[in-house]
Amino acid sequence: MSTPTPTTRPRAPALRLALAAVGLSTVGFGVTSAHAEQTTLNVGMASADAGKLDPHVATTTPDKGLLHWMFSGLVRIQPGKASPEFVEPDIAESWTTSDDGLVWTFSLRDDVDCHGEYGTLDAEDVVFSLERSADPEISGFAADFSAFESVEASGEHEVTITLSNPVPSLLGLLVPYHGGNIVCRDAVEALGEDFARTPIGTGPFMFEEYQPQQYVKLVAHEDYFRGAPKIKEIYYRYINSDASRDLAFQTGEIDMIYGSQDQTWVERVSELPGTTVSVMAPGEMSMISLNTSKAPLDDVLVRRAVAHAMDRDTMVAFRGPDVTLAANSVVPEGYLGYTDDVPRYEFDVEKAKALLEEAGHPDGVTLKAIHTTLPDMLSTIEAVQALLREANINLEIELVEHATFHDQIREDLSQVVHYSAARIPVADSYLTQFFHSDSIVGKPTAVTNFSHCDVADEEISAARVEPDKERQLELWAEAQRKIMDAACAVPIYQNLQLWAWKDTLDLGHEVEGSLNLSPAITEQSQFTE
Amino acid sequence: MSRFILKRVGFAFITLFAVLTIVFFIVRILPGDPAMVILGDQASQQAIESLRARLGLDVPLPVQYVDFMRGVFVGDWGTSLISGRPVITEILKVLPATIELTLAALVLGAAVGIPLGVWSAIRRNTVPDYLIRLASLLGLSFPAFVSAVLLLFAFAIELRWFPVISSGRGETLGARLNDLALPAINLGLIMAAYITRVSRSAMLEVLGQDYVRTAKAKGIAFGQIIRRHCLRNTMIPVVTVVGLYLGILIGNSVLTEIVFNRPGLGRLIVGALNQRDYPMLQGMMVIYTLMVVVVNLATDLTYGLIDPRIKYS
Repeated sequence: MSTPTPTTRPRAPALRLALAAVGLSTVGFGVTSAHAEQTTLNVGMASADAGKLDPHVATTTPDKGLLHWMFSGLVRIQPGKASPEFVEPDIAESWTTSDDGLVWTFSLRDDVDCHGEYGTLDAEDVVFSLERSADPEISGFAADFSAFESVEASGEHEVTITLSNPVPSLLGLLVPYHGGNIVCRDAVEALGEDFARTPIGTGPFMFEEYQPQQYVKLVAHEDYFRGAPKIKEIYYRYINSDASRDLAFQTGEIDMIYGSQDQTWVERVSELPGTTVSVMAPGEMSMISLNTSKAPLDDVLVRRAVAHAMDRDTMVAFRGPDVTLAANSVVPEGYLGYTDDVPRYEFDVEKAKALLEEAGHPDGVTLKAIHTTLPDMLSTIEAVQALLREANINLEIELVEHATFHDQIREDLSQVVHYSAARIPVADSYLTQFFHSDSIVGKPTAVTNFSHCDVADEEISAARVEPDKERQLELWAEAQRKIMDAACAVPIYQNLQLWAWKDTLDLGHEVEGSLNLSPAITEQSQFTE
Repeated sequence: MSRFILKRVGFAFITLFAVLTIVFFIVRILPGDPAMVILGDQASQQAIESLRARLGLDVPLPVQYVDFMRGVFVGDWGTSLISGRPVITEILKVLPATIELTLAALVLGAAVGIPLGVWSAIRRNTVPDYLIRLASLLGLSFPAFVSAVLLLFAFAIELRWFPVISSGRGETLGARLNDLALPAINLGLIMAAYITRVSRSAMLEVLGQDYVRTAKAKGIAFGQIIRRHCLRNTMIPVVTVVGLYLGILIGNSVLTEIVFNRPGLGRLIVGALNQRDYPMLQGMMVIYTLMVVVVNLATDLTYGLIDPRIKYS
């Protein structure tokens, strides 16, 4: 049996450095204000328009960032944190688990109101919501819920989830991130197709208006169960051009902006008076997957040569030390289960050349990478190309437009795949999607295993159902060691999320990270002027 | 005249049909999958296949094609694969903003470009002519997104006369004009550069005609010669060019809309292309084709108004 006790943990040292470097302030801590003048928050997001605003379908950063402020989950991650270690109650007041970890009973608050005229949330809404998340016909996250045997309302305000096997970090699935967003049944049924345009949740802010290519307007949910939000309106503006977004922030037309993942952006915006710049976890990890099924990369010596030719320090310096962390393992730092106790490949050009010679390639090798034209990713692969050339590894880059890139790498057409991604910060997500043999591209169960790596299937599968937390961590660590030893992929760096806002905006909590990739705006957030 | 228009409308239908057919197949030949765009890169192959089926993307192409064509002609353009909203609603919501911007740019371009071109021709090989030619060359070679950012710097950041975010839907006329000003100036200046050059060369050609020499010999005042004898004849090539350059204007309006954060077809089409939103792309093509066809027809009809010698048969 377990009860939730929110824990705290020191920030990862490297992350702390990155945060300190850009002068991250503890936003508004200790600031008291008798009267908040401004109650309208204007946010500038890098996107041309809103996508589908159904929380069980939306996957893009702009859509998730907006839904973040509108939905609750059974549990949530403390505002300002990104790791599931910081889970705390949300709609559920408390919960218990059976000894085998298969039956979870959640006791719900009885004062949770749905937005608009859709009444009070009860157990039936939660059951409906979780069943909707698990329905592959509706939800984009159904696979996450495959171990859910049943979800039942065991009381008016009690829900029981029965699992077919233990799930790593079940609570992580129930935070309002993907499928864990709780929707109101009456609203979904009444609105039908329109629900994706007028999402109804139970969070601090509710949908009010959508103007195509302009903004989504949210207003305060006065009956929010933690109290009425101090901010009364949020305009979430879609401003795709980086330059325009920055200029609008500069003129004060917007109060909070999504930044470009770029060192110069941090330097420039940090210099604007009265501005807080935040570098948030989780980062997107850039990684080079090496196709182990095709020559010459089927030879581990060649793959290790590539790993030795990669100079992470140069890459971090290239991307910008304030916005980037070096990546040491095939799981991003900060994820539950991450370990840096893995075989390392120090930067050594001579060693890389020697390995190539040992593998029978004294004159070097030529590898082909199909790559996207997205500017940030492109500059990275070009830097990698230059590094590898030093070790006689000729990386031929074939450029294609972004959607084509996604299509072709899934058709197994690229020997080397450069991929940049963030996942729910539990080791299982990265290990399963990128390194389990079920996820190998081309298979019906394919996700993003571009390397055809299968060396750690046993550990990844075992960790997924391991009830002993210590043992689970050990299995994940072992999987990372095996994958690094086989050099299925070469991790390069993590790009952190960048945001900036006016100093007069007090978010009400310290911001280290956000799973939903936008800073949490809660009922406590307010302007101090 | 009406026979002429009917004939042109008939041709327009054939053009529309051909363009739509080409667009229909080209967007589907392109690699990239809307189902994956919707579900995100964590979705399994099974989930993607299942969504493709629900979106009707697994239906044989000829069947999709027939459905699409039938839809176009009965006004059912489908729903956006990405947002789930009807294509026609999405387009109609932003179309007025694009038309407003394009027309404003056209009017501004003509109001600046024609007098400058005419003046430049009259003052041929003098300092004003050199300056105007240089300025129009700059206008032609300056990318729209660069001039847009420069305008923002000057008028939105330094002078604070206009907003950076142009909503394009101000409630009062004043608010609308305020929103429209910078984007329209940005596009209008590019248009003016084109029109200046064409007006100048057309005017130079007219000024070399025998009837102008005769008029001068008769002692008619130079201003009157320009107004009564030259201007109308100069307008024919100008109108042709304006019609042709409308395509360029639409192209530049994409960048202008993005930088000024103004709603419009340009932003819609870029998003639709990136996300492989087939119905939206097809809908946009219908609109663009219609616009070009209508403008061409209007151009042809304008000739008759300018020059009564032109007869339509």
